[in-house]
Amino acid sequence: MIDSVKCECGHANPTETVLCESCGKPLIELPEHELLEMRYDGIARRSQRTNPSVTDRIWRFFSSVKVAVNLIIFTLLLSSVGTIFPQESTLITIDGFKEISPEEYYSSTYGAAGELYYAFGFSHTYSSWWLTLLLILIGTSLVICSLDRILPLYRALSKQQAKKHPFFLRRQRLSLNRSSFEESWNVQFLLAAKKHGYKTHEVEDAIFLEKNRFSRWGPYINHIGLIVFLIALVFRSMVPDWTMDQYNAFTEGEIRQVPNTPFYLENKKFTLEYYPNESIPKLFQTDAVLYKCTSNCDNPNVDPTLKELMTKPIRVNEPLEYDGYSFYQYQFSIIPPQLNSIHVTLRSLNLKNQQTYGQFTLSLKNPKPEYTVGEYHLTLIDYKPDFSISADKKPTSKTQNANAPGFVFQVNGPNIPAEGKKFMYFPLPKDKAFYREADLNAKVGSPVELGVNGMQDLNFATAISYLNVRTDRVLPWIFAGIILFLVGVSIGLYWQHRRVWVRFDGSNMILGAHTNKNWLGFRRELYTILIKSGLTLDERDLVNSIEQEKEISNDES
Amino acid sequence: MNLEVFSSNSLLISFFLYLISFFGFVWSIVGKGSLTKAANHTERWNRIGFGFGLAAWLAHVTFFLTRWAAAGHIPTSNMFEFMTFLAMMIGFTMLAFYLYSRNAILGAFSTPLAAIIIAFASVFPRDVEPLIPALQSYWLKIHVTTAAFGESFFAIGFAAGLMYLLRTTDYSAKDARSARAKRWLEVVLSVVMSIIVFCVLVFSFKATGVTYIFQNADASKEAVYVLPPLVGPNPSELTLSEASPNSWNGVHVPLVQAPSFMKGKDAARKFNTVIWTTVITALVYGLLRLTVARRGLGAVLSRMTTGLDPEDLDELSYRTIAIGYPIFALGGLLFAMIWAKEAWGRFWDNDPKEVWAAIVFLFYTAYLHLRLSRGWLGAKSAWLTVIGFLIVMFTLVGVNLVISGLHSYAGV
Repeated sequence: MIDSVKCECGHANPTETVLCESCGKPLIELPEHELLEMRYDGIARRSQRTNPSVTDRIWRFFSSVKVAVNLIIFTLLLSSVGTIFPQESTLITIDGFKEISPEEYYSSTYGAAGELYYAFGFSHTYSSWWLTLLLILIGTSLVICSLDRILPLYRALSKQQAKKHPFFLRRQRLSLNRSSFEESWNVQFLLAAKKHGYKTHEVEDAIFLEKNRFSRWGPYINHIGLIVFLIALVFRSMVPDWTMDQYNAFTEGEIRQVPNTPFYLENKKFTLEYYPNESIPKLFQTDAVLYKCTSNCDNPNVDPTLKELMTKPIRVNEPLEYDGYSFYQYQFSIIPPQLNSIHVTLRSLNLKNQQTYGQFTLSLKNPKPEYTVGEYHLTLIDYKPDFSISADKKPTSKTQNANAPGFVFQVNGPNIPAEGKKFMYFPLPKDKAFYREADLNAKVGSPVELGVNGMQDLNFATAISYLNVRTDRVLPWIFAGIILFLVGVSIGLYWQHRRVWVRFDGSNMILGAHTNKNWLGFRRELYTILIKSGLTLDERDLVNSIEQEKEISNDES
Repeated sequence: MNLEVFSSNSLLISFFLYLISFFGFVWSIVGKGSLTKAANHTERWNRIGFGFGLAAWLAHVTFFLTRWAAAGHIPTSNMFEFMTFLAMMIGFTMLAFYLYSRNAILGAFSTPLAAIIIAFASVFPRDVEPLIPALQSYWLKIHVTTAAFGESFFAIGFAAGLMYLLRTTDYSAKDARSARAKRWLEVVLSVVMSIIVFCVLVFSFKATGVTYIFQNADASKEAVYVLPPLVGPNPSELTLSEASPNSWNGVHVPLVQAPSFMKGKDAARKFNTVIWTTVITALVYGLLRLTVARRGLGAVLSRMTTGLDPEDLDELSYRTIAIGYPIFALGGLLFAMIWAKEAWGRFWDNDPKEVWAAIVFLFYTAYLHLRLSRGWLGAKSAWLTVIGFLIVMFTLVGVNLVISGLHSYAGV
């Protein structure tokens, strides 16, 4: 160290040190009849420099607790203003908002106050530059406050010397002076101190007791936790790949690609349940199947090959989670029933002695081209989801929705000529009657037809489920930061760093003691230890004569 | 008697036991025996106060558990249930700190706090309701209870802080500083009194069975007044229904209509409640000043605190907050974030309730820094605990009444 101050004990201290790091003797003039300021053990801190440079001044500003508290109060006040009226970001769900601008919305709903609210930018408080700036300033303050104190404090505490200067001992808040003592006292004293959990350090003519030094790191651990939390927040907003937040609609019975992901998701069924005799909903559930595309993923002409990954009922509070992606039940809408697929039965056309040959599932969205049913083989010749006859008398589809589905199949099998027989199938009874399906099939001589055995064979889509698809890779850091914060707070608040120094000069003994918190508890403990060691004293004898009349309850961190 | 009725009765019993406990503690301090320094007076009445306090708490726990059994889910899902749970936690914290400090005055200030919160909770709808999907999670048990537990420490910290202020404010002094302290203490005590007045008003008028219903033309919207509508909604929106009485004790109602800027179906009704509460509180306050409290409410209460060591109170107030702070951060922020992430997919939504929970956290962060690093002890620190608890109560109740948002399941 270039700049240093040498103490009479021989220790070289950094400049601006108040109390010698080794023996505790003051290195500057201190007022008479006052206790020593023991905060941070009188170490040299950059923020306390007497001739500060510009950087020092900035450092001093951010290392000030007063500034930190002011920043906290500003943040608190501005955040509360943001809750007076709804934020712009929440208005999308309010009916009728989309037709008017936010400006109009605030002035028409809240009058002049709303206009001012919008004009000052409070309608987007939590994404405003000034709140962001405040958080950055708080972050800077956390870092500088911690660095300013933790490094010098660590250095000072790791090279403590047992033997302290008498001046240092006499100016401690708890102090005791005895002119005669017995040799055996040392042994008793050390034994009693050990029983109270103190680490003891004995050198010639001096004893040093210390416990719970780790509690001094509590505030810094909690600040580090908060810094981790804030950095995680910054990364979260800066690295778009780490977070994804999208809302996708999944109609019942449909497999849909989840945009921006390698996944496909099928909404097998959406369930909405109410409590009996109540208008309170009990359950929103999407029975979901998650798939991954293994081939033909980007080929629009060929269906992708999907591999099933997992099946899970997604409910509010029970998202589907896979490989860092989460699918949340967000919303739903009930739609007019749409036929999705039919569980059809292949049977003989002969009504008197009707035979059934087997069943298969016929999709109305993407019917497969071929089916094998028992000994029969069906080929889909044509499919019109919204069947009608055009002006030039040709079958056509009005829309792509399955409003009036009509199929033409070719059947091959036993007792059917090699070229096969064609037949039609209209799943909906109204179309079946209107286009006279039975007559047409009899006319072309089809030996078979398709039919259903009842409503249970029809699969309708009655709801669209909206899922919120998210990834948040930073989240573990955010939670880790908060947990670290809580650990640090507990360490700092519930344990106290207690130290006792004893010095012997001939038959004279001086004792000084310091704690960073809970002086009353410490005084009682020290009193107990001294009584156990064989001294006779009153608890109040420990109070420094300078402070005799003033009760001790003052805390310090 | 079914379980739900039994549960409600337990709460009522608990309420009265808290009050008896309160009088026990008060008698311990101001009773004849304490003046004559009669032997055993303090111990005996402390024991009575604590005994009834414990009985009240046990009845409170009975209410909680039987309601849980009746509802099939933990009763912390609406405002009534949450507030009664908070009162139960305050009862617990009070008893624990009483055992630690053996201070009757602590009981005298905390038991009415629990009783007032129970009464206030009972103004809100008390029906057992099934859980909506968003609340169906074990986090309902963890998040809400931990947050309320943390808040109960802030409540005791507030009680101790208030006691400190009453103890140290010099009511015979004439200087500006004491005058300011006296004035602000009167304000705080009046606010507490106004909550009692509000509860008494609502329950007395409910007992008469008369309600005033305002409806729009097709009866699709309505506002139901329990307190006589001195201020009615804008007649172009809602008018008094045929079935409702149009006068109260000879006063034509509604007397006046709400100012036009008050929109929304309940704005006028809330305004009416505020007017009733303020006017009656002012009357009661005036009456007290003319009779028993000629020098102010604070002066009366201050006399009760004379035997206390201010530094003990200061330390007690600090310790409750030192314990409550991390518990609140755990329950009100971390658990809240984890649940929000699980239910809504986002851990933070800037919902008013969330923002106010963060404000509570920031406020007590400032408190701890000011106290531990800036040496704000005594009165400054005590005022912070009073302000802090007002912020806590606003977060719990005010946000739901004034601002709505995702947490507006409270039903009022």
